[in-house]
Amino acid sequence: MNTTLHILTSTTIPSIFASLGIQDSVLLLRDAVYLLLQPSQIELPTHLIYVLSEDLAARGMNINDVKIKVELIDYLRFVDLTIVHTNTVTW
Amino acid sequence: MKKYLFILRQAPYSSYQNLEAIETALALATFMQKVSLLFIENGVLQLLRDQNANLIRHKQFTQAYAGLNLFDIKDVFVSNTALNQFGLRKEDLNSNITIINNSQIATLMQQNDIVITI
Repeated sequence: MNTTLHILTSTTIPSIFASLGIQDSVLLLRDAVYLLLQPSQIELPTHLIYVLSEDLAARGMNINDVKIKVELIDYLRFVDLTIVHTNTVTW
Repeated sequence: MKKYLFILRQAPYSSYQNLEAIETALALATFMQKVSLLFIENGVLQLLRDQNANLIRHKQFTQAYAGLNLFDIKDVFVSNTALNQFGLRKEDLNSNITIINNSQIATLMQQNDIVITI
């Protein structure tokens, strides 16, 4: 089964967000990390959300302020994610 | 002397317009113009403390907001609607910022000669 890594890069949530494939993953980059301030908009019971730690820290945000379960990752893990998924889509 | 109001609507590193806006505001203040700043919508995100833009190879310009007093810019406002949108409180932000509501924003715009939105 093909899997997709959905990379969000802005505070605009893609319209298909509510119907992601069960094996898909979500990664928040750049301004998309601000979505963590509005957790009800992006919380998905079925998916873990990955967040690039540099983008979070650069914007003065702290993982302790984040109300939903996320995994902070570095650039190396980012590369891993693009490899383990069949496709990568940047929104 | 003219009264300038800058309305900042964008998150800090989404473009270089924010950096250019604050440089313009400081330049105007240096030439004895009355400058006010208003942060609405995503613009409130510029005011978060402890930012470190070096991590994303961007200029750390938001620290200028802490030194606005030096340029005699004393009127700095943030929209309470925008704060609520992101679940932020006053203590999450840089100091010396006045929280105002939408009707106060309308008044503020009427009080200024030149309004610039970024």
